[in-house]
Amino acid sequence: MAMAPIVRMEEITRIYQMGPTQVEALKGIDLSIDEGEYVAIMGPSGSGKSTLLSLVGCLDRPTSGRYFLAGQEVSTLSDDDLARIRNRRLGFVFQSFHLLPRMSALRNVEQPLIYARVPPAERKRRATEALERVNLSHRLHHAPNELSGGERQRVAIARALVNEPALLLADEPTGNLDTATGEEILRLFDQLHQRGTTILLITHDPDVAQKAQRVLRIRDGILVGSDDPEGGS
Amino acid sequence: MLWENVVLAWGALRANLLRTLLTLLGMVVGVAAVIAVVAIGRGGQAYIIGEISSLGSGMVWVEPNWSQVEDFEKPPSLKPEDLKAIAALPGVQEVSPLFLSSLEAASSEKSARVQVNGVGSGYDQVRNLTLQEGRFFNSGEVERQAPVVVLSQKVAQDLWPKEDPIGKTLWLQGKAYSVIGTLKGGSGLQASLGDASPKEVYIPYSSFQRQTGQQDIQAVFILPTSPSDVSSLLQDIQSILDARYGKNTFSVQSLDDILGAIRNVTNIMTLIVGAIAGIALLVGGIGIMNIMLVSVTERTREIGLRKAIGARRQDILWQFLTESVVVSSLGGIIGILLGAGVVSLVSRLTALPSLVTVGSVLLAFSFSALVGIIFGVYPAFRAAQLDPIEALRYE
Ligand SMILES: Nc1ncnc2c1ncn2[C@@H]1O[C@H](COP(=O)(O)OP(=O)(O)O)[C@@H](O)[C@H]1O
Ligand SMILES: [Mg+2]
Repeated sequence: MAMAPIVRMEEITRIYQMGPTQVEALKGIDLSIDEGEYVAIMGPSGSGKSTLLSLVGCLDRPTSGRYFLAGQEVSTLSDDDLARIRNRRLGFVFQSFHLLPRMSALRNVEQPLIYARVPPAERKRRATEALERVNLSHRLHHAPNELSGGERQRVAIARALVNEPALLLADEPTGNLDTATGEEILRLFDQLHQRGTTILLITHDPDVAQKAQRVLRIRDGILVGSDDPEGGS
Repeated sequence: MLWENVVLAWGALRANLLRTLLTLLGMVVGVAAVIAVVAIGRGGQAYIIGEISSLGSGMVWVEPNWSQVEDFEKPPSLKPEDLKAIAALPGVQEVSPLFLSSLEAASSEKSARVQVNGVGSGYDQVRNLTLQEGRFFNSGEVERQAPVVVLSQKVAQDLWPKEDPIGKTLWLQGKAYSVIGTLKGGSGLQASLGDASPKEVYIPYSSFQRQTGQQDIQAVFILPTSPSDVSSLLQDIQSILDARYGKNTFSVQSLDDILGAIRNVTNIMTLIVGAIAGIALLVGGIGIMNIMLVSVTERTREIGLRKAIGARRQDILWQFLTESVVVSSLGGIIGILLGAGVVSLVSRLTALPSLVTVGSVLLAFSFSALVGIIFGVYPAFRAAQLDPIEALRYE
């Protein structure tokens, strides 16, 4: 049970139909991520990184292949089941934060718990805890536009963590941040990893990728260059 | 979850308050119109019907058919035999002629010009007059041309401001009448007239005829035994009079005819205004659909994010449907307040009672909520159908 990987993808393809032409965004991906790993997938623009992340994140279904998330085959599940899996097992961090404006940091972090039907008092407690984990306990009641870029991304990370996901997915999480703030976010990822969170990070930036425990490279929809346990090139 | 959605909707609404309120104008006007017109229409109708009924429920009267009268100096008149024939009809309880004249009246201290009604003994019942004190005259007094008089409250107060008038003498143009009764003050319209309320006295018609020399009976009031069905009585009286004086020389009418006509008019008015309000609500609904489609487009990224963190299609659908209902209900509430404001203003400026009923408020509110549902479904459906990946990428 402990040995079962969180993510296991076999021969995954994703073909986009664009009118008469087909775009093969992913051409047979085999991917395995174990519990507690910190994996980066690096590749140039258009190589299929976001497509792969959408599939891992159950926002999309593969054209062919099999995908097991925490041992459960998900490529055949219904939309509602996938929504449930995203809610309970996955946490997303996006390049552009995607915080809801007009809502405090606390309310933003509570949102996933609303869909999990967590009662209000417990929701508040857990959201506060999640914000403490990202060192934002002093910003609970600030709206996004009252926060710096780094703080916004930390709110987004707290939101991703609040439901104790099996896997944290991050798509260019430092893309909208200056170098120093980006470093700060990556240090936070490192801390989370130290404490046992499984992370899959996607980036085009080698400096970011090298922070991970293992770096995979993708080019034209195929995973090339394999494990690099020490990080770096 | 519902509560969460209401909170979300309220937040979204507040963020675009001015825009939302402008869109709601159609709804507000529609709902306010329904409330105001129904209330004023109902109030007015109830008021008029009340006034008319207080004149004598189930009352039937005969008068010359004025549209056929050629010489207004000499309108056709009825004879005492005609009254006897009418009184003999089945379903007739009381018959009373009515003579009218304006005469000078005086007590020992004061005098005033009053309207003198020469009537039969059953006239108090026919016209629904209630006595304050004393009694109305009886048929014996009518037969003997007794000099007795019943005073309206106004006359009693004006001529005997400090004393009880019963038993005192009223001088009508120099002739002595003994006061045997006083009437209760009128209500509604009559009460609201205050000082202008009618100064009337009632004497036996036989006494009236003797004093004034006036013999022609121009108006007859009839009290049916059962006020509910007077149509056959109307026909019977009409055919007697038609046989004696020619077709439609006299007209026979009942209060029910008039009440029915008033009800018809106000009902038609209510219907027309209802239709106009319906159109306003329709326009308001389209406005809401428009604003909700804008809202969905503006919040595409929010929808994408919500799906990513676990919202199902139905969660998004309910979120936006709730928002649309909250928006339209807000329009309904503002409209109800506005309408009620107009109604209370109107009822303060006029004598009309205000009739904003709980029923019409609930109806207006549920209608506006319904508009929110109907016109919110499509935008909410559009939101629910969005593809999360594209929605997250939306700029
Ligand atoms: N919805 C789509 N429809 C058609 N083609 C798409 C779609 N999404 C991505 N693609 C194509 O698939 C390929 C991979 O895209 P993507 O996964 O976004 O790459 P990356 O994130 O590495 O830049 C690109 O050629 C892109 O044009
Ligand atoms: Mg990308």
